[in-house]
Amino acid sequence: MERNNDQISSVQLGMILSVTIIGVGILTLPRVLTEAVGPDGWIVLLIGGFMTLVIGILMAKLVKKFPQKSIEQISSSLIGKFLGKIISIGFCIYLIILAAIETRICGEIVKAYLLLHTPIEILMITLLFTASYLARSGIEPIARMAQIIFPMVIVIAIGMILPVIPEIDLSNFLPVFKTPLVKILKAIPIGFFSFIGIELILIFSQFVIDKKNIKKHACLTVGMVLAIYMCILIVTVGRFGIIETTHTIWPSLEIFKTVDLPGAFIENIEIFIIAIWIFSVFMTLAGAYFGASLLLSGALGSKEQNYFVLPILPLIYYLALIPDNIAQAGDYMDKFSNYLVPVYVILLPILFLIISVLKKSKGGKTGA
Amino acid sequence: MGFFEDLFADKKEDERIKMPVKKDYQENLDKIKEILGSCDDVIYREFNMAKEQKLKCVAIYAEGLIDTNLLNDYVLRNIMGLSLDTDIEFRSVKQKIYEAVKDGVIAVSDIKEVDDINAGIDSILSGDTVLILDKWDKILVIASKGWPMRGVSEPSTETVIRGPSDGFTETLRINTALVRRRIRDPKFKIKQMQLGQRSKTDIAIMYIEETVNKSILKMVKERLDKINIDAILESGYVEQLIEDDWRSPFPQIQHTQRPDVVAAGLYEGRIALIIDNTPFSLLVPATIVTLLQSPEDYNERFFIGSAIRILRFLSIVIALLLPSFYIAVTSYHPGMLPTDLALYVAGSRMNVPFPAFIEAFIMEAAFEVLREAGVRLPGAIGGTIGIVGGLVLGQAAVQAGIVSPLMVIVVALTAIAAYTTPNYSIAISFRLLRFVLMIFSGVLGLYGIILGLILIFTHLCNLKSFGVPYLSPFVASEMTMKDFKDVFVRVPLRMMKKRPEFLHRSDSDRLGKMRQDIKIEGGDSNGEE
Amino acid sequence: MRKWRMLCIGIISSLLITGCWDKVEIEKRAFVALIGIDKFDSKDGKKNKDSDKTKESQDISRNKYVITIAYPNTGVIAGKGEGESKYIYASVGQNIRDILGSLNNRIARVMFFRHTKAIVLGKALASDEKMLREVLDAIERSPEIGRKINLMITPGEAKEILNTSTKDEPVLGLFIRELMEQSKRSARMADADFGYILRSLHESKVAITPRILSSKDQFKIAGSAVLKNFKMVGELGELETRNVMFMFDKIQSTVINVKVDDLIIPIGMTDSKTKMKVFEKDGELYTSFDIEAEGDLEQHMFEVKGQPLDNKYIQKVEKIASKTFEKQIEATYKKIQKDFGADLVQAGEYLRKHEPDTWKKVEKDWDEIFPTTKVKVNVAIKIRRIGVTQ
Repeated sequence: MERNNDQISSVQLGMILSVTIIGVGILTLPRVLTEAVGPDGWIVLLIGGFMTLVIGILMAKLVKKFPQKSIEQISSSLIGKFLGKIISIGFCIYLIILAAIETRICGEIVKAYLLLHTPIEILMITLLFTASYLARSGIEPIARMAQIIFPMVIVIAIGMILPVIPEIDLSNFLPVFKTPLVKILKAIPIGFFSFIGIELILIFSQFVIDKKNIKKHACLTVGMVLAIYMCILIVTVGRFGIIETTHTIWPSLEIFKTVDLPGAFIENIEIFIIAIWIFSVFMTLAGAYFGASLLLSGALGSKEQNYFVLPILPLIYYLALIPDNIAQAGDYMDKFSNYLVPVYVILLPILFLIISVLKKSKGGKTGA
Repeated sequence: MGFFEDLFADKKEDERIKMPVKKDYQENLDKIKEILGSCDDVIYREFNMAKEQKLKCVAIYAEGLIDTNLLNDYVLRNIMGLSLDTDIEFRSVKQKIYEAVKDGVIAVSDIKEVDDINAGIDSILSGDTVLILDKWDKILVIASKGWPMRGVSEPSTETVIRGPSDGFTETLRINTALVRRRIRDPKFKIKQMQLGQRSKTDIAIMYIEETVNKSILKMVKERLDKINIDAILESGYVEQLIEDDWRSPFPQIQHTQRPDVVAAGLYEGRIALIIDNTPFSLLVPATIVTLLQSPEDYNERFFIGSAIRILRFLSIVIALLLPSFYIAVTSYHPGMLPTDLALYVAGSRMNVPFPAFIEAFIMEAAFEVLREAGVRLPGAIGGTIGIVGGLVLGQAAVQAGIVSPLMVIVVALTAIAAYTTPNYSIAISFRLLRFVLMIFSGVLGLYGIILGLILIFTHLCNLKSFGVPYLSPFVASEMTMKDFKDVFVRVPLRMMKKRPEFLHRSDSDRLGKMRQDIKIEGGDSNGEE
Repeated sequence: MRKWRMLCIGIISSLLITGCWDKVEIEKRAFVALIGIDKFDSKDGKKNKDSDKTKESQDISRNKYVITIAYPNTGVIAGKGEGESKYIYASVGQNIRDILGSLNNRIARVMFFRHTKAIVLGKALASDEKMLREVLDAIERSPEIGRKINLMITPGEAKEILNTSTKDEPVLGLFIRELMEQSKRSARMADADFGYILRSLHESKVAITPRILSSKDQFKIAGSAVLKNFKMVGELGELETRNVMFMFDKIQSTVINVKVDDLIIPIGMTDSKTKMKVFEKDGELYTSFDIEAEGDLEQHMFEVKGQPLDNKYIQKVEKIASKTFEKQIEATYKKIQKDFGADLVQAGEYLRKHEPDTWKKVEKDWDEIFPTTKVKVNVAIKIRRIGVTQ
């Protein structure tokens, strides 16, 4: 079997990013936003989206300077081999943690809504094995998978949301701009962290053939995800109101409990929605999983990425099992997004970009 | 056209040891007799010719494979007549006699000279007549193929209501002719080769030079050359030996019995392989979309064609998912059903002794058994089996309370839905995967189905057919809606204005590049980079 | 790599074989269609010894609730089995989870709540704040019970409702759901599902729930119960409930009677739109309702010619109808204000959204301020059709 598994287009990269960004966050997004700033959550979301856009453009600029180079090669050439290794291993750990979080939350939700008595270990390990199959397949199948799943999920989700629309009361977003500015500023990280996954540009761009389009598609992706988030926020808050939204753990899921599909074959469609949502979480997991195995194989100097997929599996599984309960999982998630994310999503690309610009100006003077 | 010549040129070098034809008539004949010893179907007709009957001659052929009338009337009579009628002196004739025989006497359209005894033997075995003349170091091969063959008849699979009803037969030549009749284009090429150490089956590679993707053509040729097998009995052998992933349940090559499908495929830029002795020809590359298309989609108006297409996609979903969904709903998530239906299902399953999974498995397996039996039995009885099995068994099982009536409906629906697919192989693979999904759903309910579906999708995303992603155009690397004109719906023909664009709908960027080549200069460019 | 693969296959298949934790066949489930929750009464416990004979039940301190569940005999529904069309079980205990657990000891099937259509609360329970809050939380927390169910309050005991055997629809829960659908047309009961109640309670601590009444072999859903600060504070009659529904803009169709020149004319409403506004004027808070309604004249007097087809007459009827109706709604609003002091119409929420500055002033003692707000009602009733005779 031939596997020429190393070329994707920037369209496909955009698709991967979209499905990766939309993961477990979407379920809690309306709640955390509303908790922080009340009816002005959409502003925070907009700001977060805009920041992501900027970061995405910076990342695209960075990778454009190093065509066909992996993040390890980029960092090695910028800050030296040893530091480069450390950074790529750190990135790998970052992705493993991300994968573990996705796994755990997915397991929790499936257990809460679908299979109440099945041990969560089983739910997680089956998900991980399924993801390992895709992660072993390489970047091209992941890209294709994203292309199939993204439209599918979107179309079905929109179909399910349509019956809610007449019941949306937009006055729930009133009063506008009455939240203190400090509060909004403090909430901006929440808006920004819901776009975690954009940093995969750094890792996956080495496979992209048409580098120059990455910027365009990164912007498109952020725009698309922002639109989806906005849609969910408007529907949830519009239907539930501020207080009810903050009261439920997973308001985006709870909203479907109010939906009565007219004349439908299925009732209680939140079950069905979870099923669809699993596709989306799966893609986030697979993306992070693949990225982690890729970085690890790069750091260890191997060219066979797929050998490293299965050895990582127990690690993700173990990490996912650490939190004792859903509340603790949430705490860990906050810690993760407060400490690791800023480093890898914001600091790293900006730093690298600056260094590369400096080096280039220096290199330009000296020769070649 | 250097590319095509190069591609097929290396065929000439033959690893076989050549056995040159000697001047000595007897030696040649003995050699052939030695090789073909105990082949009692080979007839040696020895006779003398020319004046005074001095020149010895033998016609060798395999009985039953040749057209005896042709041999008698236009070969033997003429040669023998030459010896009686003409009064050319033997000596003067001697140099020219062979040319005379070859060019002036044998009234047969296809005739050629070979200087290798082995080649001659191959010809004998493939139904030609070999003529050996005394004192001449060449043998004449007269095309006299004429064995009993089935006429062109309607194909038994892929039947359409509107559309041509001629189907391929077991004879290669007729099959190529059926396609040629549909493509009167000099750019339409038929390249022949032989496969199988012993069977020496003829295989025709067909393509249209200007639309074919050269890298795919090269891939086909390379994979065919790699085959080392003693016999090719059916196109399935070739299919399994050249497909991309032999572990996949999905067919990666389309087989068809219909010349119009082959012609359409060739126009699209695909490559057809016609294999002797089987009415099934192969089309590469195949994608999941091409496997779900039927020629009728194009013959009917686009509303009808599109509606049927959508129906077919829906049927596949039903055939794949309905039983597992039934299991998930009844055993795990009755909450998904509307209340009235849930209560009814619960009531109708009252006293059914098996869990839904076992019940579904038994019924689905029973249906597969019935289907298999129906295929094996002679036509007349096959129908009876359907009635006895389907109706009587189902009814009895429900009345006995072993299965619920709803289960029978589910089984019947999935069974019928699976048959809306025009391609038999892909229908089979979906039927097989249905069982896999049933197991998943029996263990983890809806979650299991989702995981199973993800696995299937992942596998499909991994699959390629000759370098073309199997799921094209859903996974095209350039987002273009043009390719979706012929997927779920078939837009009106007049909207498929740009022929090549439409024709390459199933292809990835590689074909996309080639598409541009065509626009510029009609295919005269190199496909690979 | 092959060994790895074999290992994976081995692990997965062993998981599959030992699996099926959640599998419960559909016929083994009890589709609890209706739940009744009552406050446990020690006298009551003695009276209904058949409901729970264990000694535990006599222990008052441990028992707080009585839960009655009803689930249909699915065999009868599918036309297969025989016997009663529904099964009713009751048990007592300290909390809902407990009771369901103890019910499981008696029911051979697994109770399943995703198809629960209604939960009926007894008045005694609904009037107890702590218990009502416990119950509401238990229901809200459950991932199984949806937000579309109906939470109802009965003036008597919920048990009685469940013991009512209806004639035409064996499944009580379905019966109630259909009743609710039907009753929406007359609008004489609160069109409020659980989702609304939760939201309203979360936002303004008040809500209105449908009231269910039962007699021997039938029950009716009419009127409503008013919850304030998580306990029931009173009931509203059928017409009052209708007026509240007008304020909520939840009217689909209803009939109002208008007295015109000794003649009582019923007007069937076909369409209605209400706009609520809360504003401050001259230091006083006003709540205003602008109601635009359309209707048909459904009955007049036999052999009175000319009147209904006369535009002037119709305008007169419209005017009188609007006036009468304004008064009715005003009266209901005042009743809500004075009797319950409950901000059912969510005027506070309106202020918070649209007049955040005013809201800041009144937020703290809204409970006291609300009863002093003034009300303005503007009703414009249009009669569009008069039937097929003059």
